[in-house]
Amino acid sequence: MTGLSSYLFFGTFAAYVISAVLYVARITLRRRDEKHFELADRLGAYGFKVATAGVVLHAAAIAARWIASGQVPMSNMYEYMSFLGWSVMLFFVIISFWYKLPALGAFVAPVGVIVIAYASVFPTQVKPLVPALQSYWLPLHVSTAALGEGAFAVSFGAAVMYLLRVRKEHSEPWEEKALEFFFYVSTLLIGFLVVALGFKLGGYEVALTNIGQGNGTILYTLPPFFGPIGSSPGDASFLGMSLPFFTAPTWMNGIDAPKKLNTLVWTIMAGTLIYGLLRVIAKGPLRELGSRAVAGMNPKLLDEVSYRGIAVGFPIFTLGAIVFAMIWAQKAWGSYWQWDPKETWALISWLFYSGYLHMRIVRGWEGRAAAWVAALGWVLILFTLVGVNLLISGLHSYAA
Amino acid sequence: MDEMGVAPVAAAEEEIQTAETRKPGKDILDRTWDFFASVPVATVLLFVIAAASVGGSLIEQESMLSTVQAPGDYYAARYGPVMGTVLFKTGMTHMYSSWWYLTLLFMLGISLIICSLERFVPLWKAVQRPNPAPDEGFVRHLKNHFSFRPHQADAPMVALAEALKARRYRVVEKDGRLYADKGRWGRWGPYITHIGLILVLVGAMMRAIPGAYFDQFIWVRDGEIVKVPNTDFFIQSEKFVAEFYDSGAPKLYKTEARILDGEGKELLRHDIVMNEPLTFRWVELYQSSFKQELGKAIVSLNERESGKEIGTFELDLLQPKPMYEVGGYKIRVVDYFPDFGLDSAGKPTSKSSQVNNPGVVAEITTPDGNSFTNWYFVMYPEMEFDPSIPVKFKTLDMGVVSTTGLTVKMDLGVPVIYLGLLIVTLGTFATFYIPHRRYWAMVEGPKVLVGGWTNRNQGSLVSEMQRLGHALDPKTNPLADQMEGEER
Ligand code: HEM
Repeated sequence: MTGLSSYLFFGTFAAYVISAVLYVARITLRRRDEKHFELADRLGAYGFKVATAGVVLHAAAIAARWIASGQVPMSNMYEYMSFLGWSVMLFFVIISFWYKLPALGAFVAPVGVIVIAYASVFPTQVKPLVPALQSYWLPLHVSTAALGEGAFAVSFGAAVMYLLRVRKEHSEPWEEKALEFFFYVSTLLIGFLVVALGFKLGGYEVALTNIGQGNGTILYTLPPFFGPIGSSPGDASFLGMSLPFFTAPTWMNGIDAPKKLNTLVWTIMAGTLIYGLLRVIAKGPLRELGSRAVAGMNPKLLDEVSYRGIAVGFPIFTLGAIVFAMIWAQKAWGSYWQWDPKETWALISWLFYSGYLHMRIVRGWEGRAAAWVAALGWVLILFTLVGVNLLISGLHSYAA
Repeated sequence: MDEMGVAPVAAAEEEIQTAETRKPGKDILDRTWDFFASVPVATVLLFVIAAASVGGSLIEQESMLSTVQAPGDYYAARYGPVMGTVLFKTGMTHMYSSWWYLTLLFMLGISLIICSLERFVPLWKAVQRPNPAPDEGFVRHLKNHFSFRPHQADAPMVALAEALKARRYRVVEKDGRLYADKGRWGRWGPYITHIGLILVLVGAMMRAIPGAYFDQFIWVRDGEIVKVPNTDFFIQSEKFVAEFYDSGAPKLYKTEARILDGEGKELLRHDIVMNEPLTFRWVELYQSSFKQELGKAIVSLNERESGKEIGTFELDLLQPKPMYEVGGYKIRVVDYFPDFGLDSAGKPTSKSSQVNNPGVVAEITTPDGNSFTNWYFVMYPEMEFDPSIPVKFKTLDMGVVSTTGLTVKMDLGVPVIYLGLLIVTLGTFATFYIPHRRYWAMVEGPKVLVGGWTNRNQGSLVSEMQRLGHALDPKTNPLADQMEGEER
C-alpha cells in the first residue's frame, strides 16, 4: 500500500506539472494571434481535466497512505505539505467551476506544483507517533488549516494577476519593484526545489566534522560551499572542486546553521540563474511578461476571484488554524495559547486576512491596496509553514 | 443610513460615519465612540497588532529563556548593552504581556463592543423589518434587473412568488408589490463573529480574577499520595508507565492515577496520558514529565571472614526505615545521604534529594549485643570507612521507582473561550457561506420588473436572476453567457 501510495503521488505530481504546462501554453498561444484561440482554449480545457484528475489521484494517494500506515497522514512535513498542495489544487478546481477564468490556471497550478515539490524534499517514511502527537486534534487542526490555506493560494494567484493587469494604468515605482521582487522570490523557490530535488535524486550526501555546536558531524545533502567550523577543504568534492571553500562564520551558532547557510547560498545561485534565463527569454523584466499574459482580462473579475478565495478560505482557516489549534493546545499543553512562534505566526496571518476583509468594506481601500494584502497574505502563510521552522523554532516538535 | 440597508452596506455607512465624525461641536465622548466604531480604525488596529506580534516571535522572550543570568544582563550580552537594555525596558522581551501590547488588545476589544452596539439597531431594521413596497425609483436603481410578461394579468406576482418560494425565499406581498429575501443569518454573521471574539477576550481576561486560575507542577512517586495544590483533594499515582518503539522513540507516557479525598476514599480512577488530561472539579492534571530513580536495594549482610550470608533485607532508598532486623542482627540507620558527597569543609553531605549515590551510616548490633558503626554505599559496597568490623554489606539487586511529573491547572476562562470560539466559527461560516439575497418586484406597464440585491457573490445572484427570468418568460429572457474573464 505504501508503494501504491508513492506511485499515485508520483502520478499526481506529473498531472499537476502537465496541467501547469498546458495552462501556461494556453496563455502564451492566446497572446500570439487570434487564429490560435481555438487551440489555446482546447489546451485550457485539457489543463482543467488534468488538474481535476490530479486532485482525484492525489486524494487516492493520501487515502492509500492512510490505510497502509494506519495513522492519519498528517504527522510530518512531507504529509502536511502534500496535503496543502492537494488543497491548493482542490480549491483551484472548485473556483474554476464558479468562474470562467481559465487563465487562473497559469498562476495557481504552478503554486500547487511548487508546494508538492517542496513536500518531496522531506523524508517520506512513515514514522510512528511520539506521545505528544497522539491526538486526533492534530490531524484535524492541520488539515483544516491547510484547506483554508489552499483557498488563500487561489486568492494569491488572482491577486497577482490583478496587480499585473492594473499596473500599467496606475502603479507607483515601489509597486513595480515589489512586483518584480515577487517574481524573483518565486524563482528562488524554484531554484531551491531544483537543487534540492536534483541532489536528492542523485543521492548526494556528505558528513562534515562540526566542532561549532558540540562535537559531531552535520550531514549535508548539497555540495558544501560553506562547511561547519572544523571542516577543511578536501573533506568533500563536487565536479572536481575541493570543498568546502569556506567555513561558516562563528556567530552562526544555531543547530545546523552552516548547513542552512549553504542551502541559502545554493538557492540564491540557482534562483538567480533561473531568473536571469527567464529574463533573457522574456526580453525584459518578468512583470512585463506577466502583464502581457493578463492583458485584456477583466480586472473586476480578477478582483472578485481574489476576494472569493479569501471569503471561502477564511472561515475554514479560522476553524483550523485558530479554533482547533487552541483546543489542541489546551489538551496538550494545558494552555490554549502559549505564544509559540508557529502559533504566533498563524495569528499574524489570521489578523492580516481579517484586516483584508475590513479593508474591502472601507471605500478607497479596496482595489489595489487590498490586492497587495491578498498577495502578501500567502507569503505570510508560507513563512508560517516554512520560515518559522527554518529561522525560529518552538514547541511544535512536529515541524522539526 | 439607508433604512433598506440596500447600498453595498458598510461602504456607504462608512461615508456617513466619517462625515459625522468631523462635525464640529461633538464632545470628547462622542468622538471617542466614533473613533472606536470606525471600520478604518479597526482595520489599522488589526494590521498594527499583526505587525506588533511579529516582534515577539523574533526577539527571544523571557519566558523562553533558559539561562542563569538575570534577564537584564542576558539581553545586554545578547543584543549589545544599548539595544539589549532598550528592548528589555520597553517590554519587547515580554511582548505579549507588555502594557502596550495589552493596550492594543484592549482597544480591539472596545472597538468590537462599540461597533456591535452601534450597528445592531440599524441592521435589525434593515434585515428583519424590510419595507416591501419602497419608492419605485429605488427598485429601478438597483444594480440587477430582469422583467417578464405575467401569464395572468390580474395576478401578476403569482408565478414569481411560486418560483421564489420553491427556492426557499421568504415572500411578502403588499399593495400589489412583492418582496422576497433569504439568508438573513448571513447578515448577522459578522456580528456573531464579533460577539464570539469578545467572549474569547473575556475568557482570556478571566485569568486575572483571583481563584479562577492557577498553574502548578507536582512530582508524584509511584504509590505516593500527594495533595493537589490549591484544592482539597489528593492524587495517588499507582504506576507510571513509559513505553518505547523499537527505534527508541517514545511511544507512551501514562500515569495510572486515583483521586482521593481527605479520608483516603477514592473519588475517581483514571489514566493520564499526553493529550488526555484528567479533569476533576474544574482542575486538570496533565502528563508533562517523569523521572526514574533508584528506589530500593536488596542487601545482604555477611560475615566478613567466611563470607557466609546472615540474611537479606530490602532497603528503601527513598526513605529508609529507622531499623532493619536480619538473622538476629539489628541494623539502625543513623544517617542517610541519597546523593552522597563532601562539602567544602570535607564533611559528608547530600548534594540533592535525588537518589544518585546513596550512602548509609549504619549501626549494627550483633545478637550478643556488640555494636559497630560503618558506612555502606549501595552502589559501591567495597568502599568502606571501617573494614575491621566482622560483618559486611553486599548489594544483590537495585530497583528503580518512577516519578510522574504532572502539571496542575485550573482556568475557569476556558469554557468561556470555547463558547466564544464556537460562536466565532458559526459567525464566520454564516458570513461567507450564507449570502443575503433580496428581490423587489413591481408592475410596470404590461411587464413585471424585478430588482435583485445581494451582499456577496454578485455572480451567483446574476445567474439566479437569469434562470428565474428564463423560467418565467423565455422570450424576454434568453439564457446568456456568464461573465467572461477574457476578451475574445
Ligand atoms: C480580530 C478581529 C476581527 C475579526 C476576526 C473580524 C471579523 C469580521 C468578519 C469576518 C467580517 C465580515 C467581513 C465581510 O463581510 O466581508 C467583519 C465585518 C465587519 N467588522 Fe469585523 N472583525 C474583527 C474586528 C472588528 C472590529 C474591531 C471592528 C470595529 C469597528 C469591526 C467592525 C466590522 C464591521 C462594521 C463589519 C461589517 C459588518 C457588516 O457587513 O454588516 N470588526 N468582521
